[in-house]
Amino acid sequence: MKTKKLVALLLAMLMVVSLFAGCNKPAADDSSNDVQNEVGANPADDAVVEDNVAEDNAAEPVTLTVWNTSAGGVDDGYKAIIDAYCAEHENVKIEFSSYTDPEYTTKLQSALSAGTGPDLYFTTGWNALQTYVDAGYAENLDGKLNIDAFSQDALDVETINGSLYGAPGVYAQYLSVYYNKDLFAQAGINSFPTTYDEFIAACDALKAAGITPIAMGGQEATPYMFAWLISTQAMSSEFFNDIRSGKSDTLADARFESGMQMLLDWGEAGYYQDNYEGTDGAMQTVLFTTEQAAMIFTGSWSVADFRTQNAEMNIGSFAFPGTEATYGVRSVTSSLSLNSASANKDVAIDFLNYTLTPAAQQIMVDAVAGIPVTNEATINDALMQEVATAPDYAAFPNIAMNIAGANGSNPQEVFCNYILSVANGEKTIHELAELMNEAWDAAAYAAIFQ
Amino acid sequence: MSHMNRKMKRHPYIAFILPGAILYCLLIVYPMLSSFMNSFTEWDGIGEKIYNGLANYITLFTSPIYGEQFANALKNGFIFVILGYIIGIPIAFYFAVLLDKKIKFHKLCQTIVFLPQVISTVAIGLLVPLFFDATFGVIATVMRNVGLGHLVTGWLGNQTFLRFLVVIISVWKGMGMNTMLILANLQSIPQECIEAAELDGCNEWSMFFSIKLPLLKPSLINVVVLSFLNTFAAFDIPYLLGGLNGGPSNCIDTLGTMFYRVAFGSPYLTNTMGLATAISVIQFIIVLVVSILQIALLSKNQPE
Repeated sequence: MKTKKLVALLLAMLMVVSLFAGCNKPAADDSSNDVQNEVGANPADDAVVEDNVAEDNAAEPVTLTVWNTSAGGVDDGYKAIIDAYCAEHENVKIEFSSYTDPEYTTKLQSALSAGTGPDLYFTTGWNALQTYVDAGYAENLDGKLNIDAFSQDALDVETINGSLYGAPGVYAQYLSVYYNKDLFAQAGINSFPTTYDEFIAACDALKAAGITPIAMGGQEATPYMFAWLISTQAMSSEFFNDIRSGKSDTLADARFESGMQMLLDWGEAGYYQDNYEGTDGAMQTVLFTTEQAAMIFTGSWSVADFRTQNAEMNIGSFAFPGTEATYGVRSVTSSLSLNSASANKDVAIDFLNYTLTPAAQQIMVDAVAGIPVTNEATINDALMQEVATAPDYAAFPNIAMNIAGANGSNPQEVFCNYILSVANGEKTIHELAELMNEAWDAAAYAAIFQ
Repeated sequence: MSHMNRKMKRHPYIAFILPGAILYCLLIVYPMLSSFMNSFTEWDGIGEKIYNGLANYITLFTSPIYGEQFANALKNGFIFVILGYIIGIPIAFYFAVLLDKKIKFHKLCQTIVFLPQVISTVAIGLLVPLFFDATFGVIATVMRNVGLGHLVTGWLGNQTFLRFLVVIISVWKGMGMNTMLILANLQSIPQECIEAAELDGCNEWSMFFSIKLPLLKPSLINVVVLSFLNTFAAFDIPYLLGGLNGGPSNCIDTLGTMFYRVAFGSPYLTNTMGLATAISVIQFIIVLVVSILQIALLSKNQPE
């Protein structure tokens, strides 16, 4: 009888334990799937990088965990850097995990709160990093990283309360107008426009030649947002100067609204493809890469997609010429922060420093077709070389329109929420500007530029 | 024999329920209660929670930024439920009655009717733009090739079309389960009732409306309540069709997608976890109250 009870008890325990088995899936496994789904890695190209060739047997074996979001498209860059680092440090094994956005933030926050966070984790810098600093999950890296080669705008992304809390990103992204040189030539346009009048003339010439001037994903807010982030500055730089200097503190201003109005005017003028209001962002890119539209407003992160979808395409890029300024956004990317609860801080800092070496910078720049932020790496991509040498890209802290205002919202979020209502005629541009102003912290914005 | 052992002997089911009950409390009840508490805080999801009373609820009802979105999401939820009822329940009844008649290949038909239930919603979401995209979609391409190109418009940017699409996909996906619930109920109607009605000269129509339909009340309650639960705060279909912002002008935004947007939608949103939790608490209360009301109203005069 007793044996029976014991067996029953053991079986019950086994059953309960087996219930938990699913909950205890290792993070690295989890992410391997994610990585494979997101970046198309095959099993051989596993996210977990191991190198067991012993070079320095005396060193104690260390396993570092690195978490990244696949949204930035930099997985391949990190994996190549990890490979190179592990080849030089045989005692170090690095488990690299990549998650899709926005699940990444949820997973990271849960893991850090539970004390099971990775040693190193990616953030988008600025106020996203501030969250982790405030919660005590980011290690102060002042004086611990070799950052001499990096410019201030690269360090600003990772600087919170005057201290460095992350390794600076090694490349910049360029938000601008990408165009099809062959289609421009077909329409008789021999050089890219340098004034707003020339831009409009180019659109008219393309239209007259039966070519859609601009690909627009009007079904979603993001394509509008990319165009707006450039145009709003180019059409109303005087207004932004007033905001920065404290002369003005409201977004409900006709000058600010003109940058948004222009996007709608282009729709009215037929510069977007037919039925653009039913096209999403992915199809917008396809329109451009299938050479059905001559221009697209996007960032340099799309160049990889352009190349994959149409390797033969003759692409160029130019900063948008507005009525008041010519504008393209140069935004330095962010990189990894160190978990303050990490048990391997020394090795983690050593790895972070490795990501900042000229060799690692080059690996990342080549992997993402990016533009390096230091002169220690070179650009091998022809289009990126063209972009990098264009004179009109303003260094622009990407926080500017997404700095937190009322209720944790910000003008960029409000823009995304309501721009399609404006496009559909349910709201006016002025109403949108007033709503954006509700989520606007003018003082915090001005403070960035002081 | 100890007190515990005696208790176990008298109530042996406790031993069976306990592991599940503990897990349920840990994984469902505790997060629910903690969500309720979080809705009274300003919190970024990771740092310190700052108690802010009813501020999140007040924001949801009065803020110019969130108030309109919240009212719109609430309205959309009810629109989807009502349209889902109007279109979905009669279709489920129709298929259930048809399958009950043991038509030819009824087993195969049963499988076909149930099939949408097991198709991944994500797959459906990915197929939609392939069909309805105005430039590259299958339908637009076919229409252009047969000379109907002038009728092609940006369907996926059309609010009415998107709302309709959400309802149709929800109905199609839920049809299998609803049909099976009604069918199981139909097949459990005592044969004596049917035979007695037949003896009394009852025709097909009055047999269905006067005999079968009243006896189908239990499954009707299930269908009505389950459809409400699945549709009111639907997340998957609106998110897949409309993205984070719930489509153009938030036309297919529900409390589910709004919660997701406010909680996790952007790394640049800060301290909005409390606000998002307030949305989920309101959603929970609405679902609870409406479900209880539905069950109470539909259970009245239940035939013996």
